[in-house]
Amino acid sequence: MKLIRASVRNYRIHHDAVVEFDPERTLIGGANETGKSTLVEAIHRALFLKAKVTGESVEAMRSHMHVGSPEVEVHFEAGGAQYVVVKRFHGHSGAATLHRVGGQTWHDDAAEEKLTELLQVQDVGKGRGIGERVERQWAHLWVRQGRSGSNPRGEAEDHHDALLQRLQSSSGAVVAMSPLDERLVQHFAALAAQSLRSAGKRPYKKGTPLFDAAAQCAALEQALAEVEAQWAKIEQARVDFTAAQEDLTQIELDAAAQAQERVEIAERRRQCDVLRARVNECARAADVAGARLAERESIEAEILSHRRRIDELARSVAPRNEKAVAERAALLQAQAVLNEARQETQTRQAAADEAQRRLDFAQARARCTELAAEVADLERNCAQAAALHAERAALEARLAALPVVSPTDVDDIAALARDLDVADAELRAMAVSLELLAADVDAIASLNGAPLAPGEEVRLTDDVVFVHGALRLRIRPGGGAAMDEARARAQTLRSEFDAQLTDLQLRDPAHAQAVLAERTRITGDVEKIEARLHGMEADLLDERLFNAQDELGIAQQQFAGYESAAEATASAGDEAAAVDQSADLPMLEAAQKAAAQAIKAARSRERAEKARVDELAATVDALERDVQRDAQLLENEKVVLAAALARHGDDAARAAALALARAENDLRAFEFAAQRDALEALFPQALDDDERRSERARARAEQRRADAQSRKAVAAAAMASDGAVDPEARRTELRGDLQRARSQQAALEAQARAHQRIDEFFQQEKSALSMRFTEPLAARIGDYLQAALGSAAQARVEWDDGLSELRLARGAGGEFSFETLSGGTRELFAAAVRLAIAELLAVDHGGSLPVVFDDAFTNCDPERVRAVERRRHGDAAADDRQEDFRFQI
Amino acid sequence: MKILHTADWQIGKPFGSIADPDKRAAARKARIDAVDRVAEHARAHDVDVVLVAGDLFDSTGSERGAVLQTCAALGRIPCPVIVIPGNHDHGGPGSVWHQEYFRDALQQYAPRVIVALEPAPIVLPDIVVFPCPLLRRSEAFDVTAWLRNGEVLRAAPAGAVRIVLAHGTVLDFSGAASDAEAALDAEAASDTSGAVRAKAWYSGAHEPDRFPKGADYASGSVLLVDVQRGQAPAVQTLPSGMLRWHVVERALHGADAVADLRAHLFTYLGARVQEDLIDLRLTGSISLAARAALDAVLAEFDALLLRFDVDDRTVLEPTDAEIEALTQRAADPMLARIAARLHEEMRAGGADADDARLALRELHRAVQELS
Repeated sequence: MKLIRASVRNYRIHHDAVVEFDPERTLIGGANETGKSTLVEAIHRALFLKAKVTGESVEAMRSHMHVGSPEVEVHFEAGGAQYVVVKRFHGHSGAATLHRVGGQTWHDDAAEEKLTELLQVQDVGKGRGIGERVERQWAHLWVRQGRSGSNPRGEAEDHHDALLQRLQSSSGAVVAMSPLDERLVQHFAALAAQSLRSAGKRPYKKGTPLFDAAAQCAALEQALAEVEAQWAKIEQARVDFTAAQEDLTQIELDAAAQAQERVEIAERRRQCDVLRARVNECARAADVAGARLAERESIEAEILSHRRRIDELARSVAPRNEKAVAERAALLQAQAVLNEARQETQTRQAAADEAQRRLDFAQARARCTELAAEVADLERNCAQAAALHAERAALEARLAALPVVSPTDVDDIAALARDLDVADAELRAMAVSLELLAADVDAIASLNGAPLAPGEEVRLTDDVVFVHGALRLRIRPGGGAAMDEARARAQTLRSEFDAQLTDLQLRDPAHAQAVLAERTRITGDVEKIEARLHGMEADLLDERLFNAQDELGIAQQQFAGYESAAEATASAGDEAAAVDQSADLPMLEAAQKAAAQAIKAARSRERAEKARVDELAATVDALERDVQRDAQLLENEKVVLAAALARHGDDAARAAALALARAENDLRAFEFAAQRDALEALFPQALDDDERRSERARARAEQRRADAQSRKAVAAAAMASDGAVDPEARRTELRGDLQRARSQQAALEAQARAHQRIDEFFQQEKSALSMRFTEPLAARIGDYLQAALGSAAQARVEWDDGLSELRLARGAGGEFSFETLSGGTRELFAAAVRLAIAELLAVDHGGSLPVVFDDAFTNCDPERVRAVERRRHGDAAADDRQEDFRFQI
Repeated sequence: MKILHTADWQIGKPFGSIADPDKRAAARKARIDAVDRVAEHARAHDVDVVLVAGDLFDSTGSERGAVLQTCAALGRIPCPVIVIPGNHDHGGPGSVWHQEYFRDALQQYAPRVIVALEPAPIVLPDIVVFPCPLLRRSEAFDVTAWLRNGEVLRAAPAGAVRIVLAHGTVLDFSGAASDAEAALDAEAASDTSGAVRAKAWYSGAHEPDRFPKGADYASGSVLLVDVQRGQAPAVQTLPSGMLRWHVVERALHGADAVADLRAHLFTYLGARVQEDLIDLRLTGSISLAARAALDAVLAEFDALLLRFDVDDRTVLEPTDAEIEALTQRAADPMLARIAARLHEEMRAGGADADDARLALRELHRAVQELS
């Protein structure tokens, strides 16, 4: 198939573009967006897309710039003839025409069908997805923009039958495998697939013998583990049961020992109770014996005490008795001395009384004399005082007759007089002097009604009306208000002055002076008299006189008494007394004093003696009382001792009783100690503890017994069997089963390994065969690659029901799958594959096929592309082939 | 006084080494059936008492069904039976002897059976049995120790035969215990039944339960003991087993090796089916074809035998013709290449040789199947 010419109208950017194709290669160039790819697409659509398609595919072709439906006309050569296909894309009303030059013309569906036949493609139909399906048409030859690096393997899929045919015919290989080989390959592939371990949880594929074997092993292991556990449980229960049984045996033994111990403790308690009673009994007996002994000892002590007391008393009374006797003698002597002193005192008293009597007499007489003289003086003074009182009374009477004027009053009056004078003088100075010098006699001259005599000067200090006859004159003194004031003042002063004088009953100031002088003189006299009276103590004189008279009376009476007594004495003839009466007073006083001294001395002595006697008497009394008391005590003691001896027996009897009591006491004490020791030996204080301990032990034993019984019951329950399963036998069975299952699994695994090995060998052989089969294709690809990449480059092409694997071998550099190559190398590789396929397939298309590279070398080194191109060009020249190659770079 | 001495019935033995459950059941059943043969001997010889010297059951927890069958079989013995527990079915707590279902079954089916669970004399007319039961799997002390005190045996009624009944090797049947007329034990250190020393006898199992370890293995019998007080016992062996256990060793060589093996195996079986048990030990080398034939023979005998253990140590050695048939195939080039590669690996030896051998065998089989 060869493209000759194409016209594109109203197709997107193109209004009417025409391309004439070179028989070998055509290059279409231009700036971006000038419609290069659109042109290529339009030709592709004309060949493979039906004219009546609708939808997006058609819409995408429409031009926004040119009016009219997209229309493409392609002139091509196929099957040895030239054809023109014209397609106008207009949805349902689109039209297709195919015309063989110089021959038949087909329209629409017939045209489409014929076209498909000519291009040797499948009818892709219409409807949904048509865009993609159309794209796949000749995709292995037609590199669209942006697909240059994609693996052509997939794009060649639709054409693999044709490719296979070409490879078979060109490689000349016989059928690759025999039918038996084929069956063996499949047989072992299936077996290997069964034994392949799949990734994930399961080691083998489900449903395979290996899977089943493994599952059986697992199930048996599980069952065995369960039976082992069951068996272990029974064995453990057996151990527990035996242990519990042994524990119970031991517990029973322990319980018996504990019971024995409790019996022993009870017996001990009983013994302790008995011993305790005995100890108490012995204690009481010992107490009694002790009390008896104490009583005995107390009696002895009492008797001994009495005896000692008696001895003591006896020893202490004798000397004190002697002393009392001596003291009593001294007392008697002292009493004699006291009596003597008392005699003397009486004598002295008499003498002193006499001296006193004489002195008193003399003194009474002297007193009478003295008092009489005093009375006389006082009477004289009284008379003198009376005269002075009379004189003073006269003076006071005179004074009382005078006005009572004080010097102040005199001064006040004088001052008022002076002020009055001044006031009058002022008034007069302001007053009018009126003097009637002559007047008609008939007519009476009057002033303010008062007749005014001629020549009488009147001083006017006030308004007056002078009338004389018909004449009436008002006379008004000058000065005005001042005169009124002066007049008022003068009047006031006068009033005061007059009132003062009147009050004091004075006539005038001179009188006041005189009265005052008089009063001062009289007052002075009175004061003199007063002074004299005071000097005389006149006030007391009367009283003193009375008293003196009274005393005198008493003294005289007293004296009279003494005198009568003296007369009595004298009448008795006592001369001395009479004489003494005449003795003078100082002598008497001296005598009296001497007598008084003597009596005082005598009394002093008497008191001293008396004190001594009292003291001795007290001493003697005390001594005698003491002695008497002790003697009484001694007697009492003796009585008590005698009573005690009578009561408790004599010394020998008591000694025997004491010894007996002591022996009894010792015996009881020993008995008590013995019983107490016996009791203590049983540790009674530990009894409660022992009982509690024993009780605790019993409780523990009970607990342990219950525990052991419980364990035994649990174990027995665990061991109990209804005979449904014999775990021991089951275990043995399962072990056998498991062992066999494992052997089986191992055998299957070995077999699986063998299968896999055979399968692996078959696959290797198949791959080698595939390489040989694709050799013609690989050689052509290799030619292009060597041109671009060097002589070491080779292509490896595997065929497995189609192109399966493309690899680039670079000599010692190793092999690389298509996908692992760089972008540029991929482009080169893909171009080489397309060219090689086109070369192979061209045989079915009249020796030529168009290969389109639209922007196919974007990553590739331009020099390498040119090398490929050169390779193509040279071959084309050599072989004179007519394929179209369109490089667009 | 006639006594039938037996032991090691091991009823309920699971036979875990037998794969097929039916065969297992049959092997178990055989041990119960053998009890009836014991009963027949007892009846035939008018025995006074049957003594089972331990391991009547195979485990301490035998299943109810087996217990019922056993008790029924015991009940068919026409004289008293005295049983002591052994190490397999020791009389410890939780063991079958204490379980209610056993007690009930014994009461119902075999009331004459006496189970001695403690060491105390069992006095029957003219015979006193001194049982030495095992009460745990492995007893640390000598279970006959209680007999050392001569008083125990001397207390037996005058004229009565005194029999010590024990399980396991009676190591110390001396002193006071040797005063007894016989010590009847379950098993000896060797597989021999019979008298090991004067007056001490071992009965072995009534039905063999394993492959013999030596040539002198004689099991599957009971001892008929005729004994009087003060006299040595007269002992007679009576057959009681049915199953036969064989150990067969063969080295395979040559083209007819497999056919010979088949014929040889039939010599053990005769006309018996599933009453024999064979432990086959194979050595030698066989071709691919012989391997296939051997597999067929093994499958055949697996059906014929109650138990068929095969210890196959034969080596696969394909013949030259077999190798040629696989590798020289112009029509199947791929098969030929692969067979050649495997053969090469096999011949090279090393770690992969066995895998290669197996792979070749698999390939061979596949070719046979797919051709």
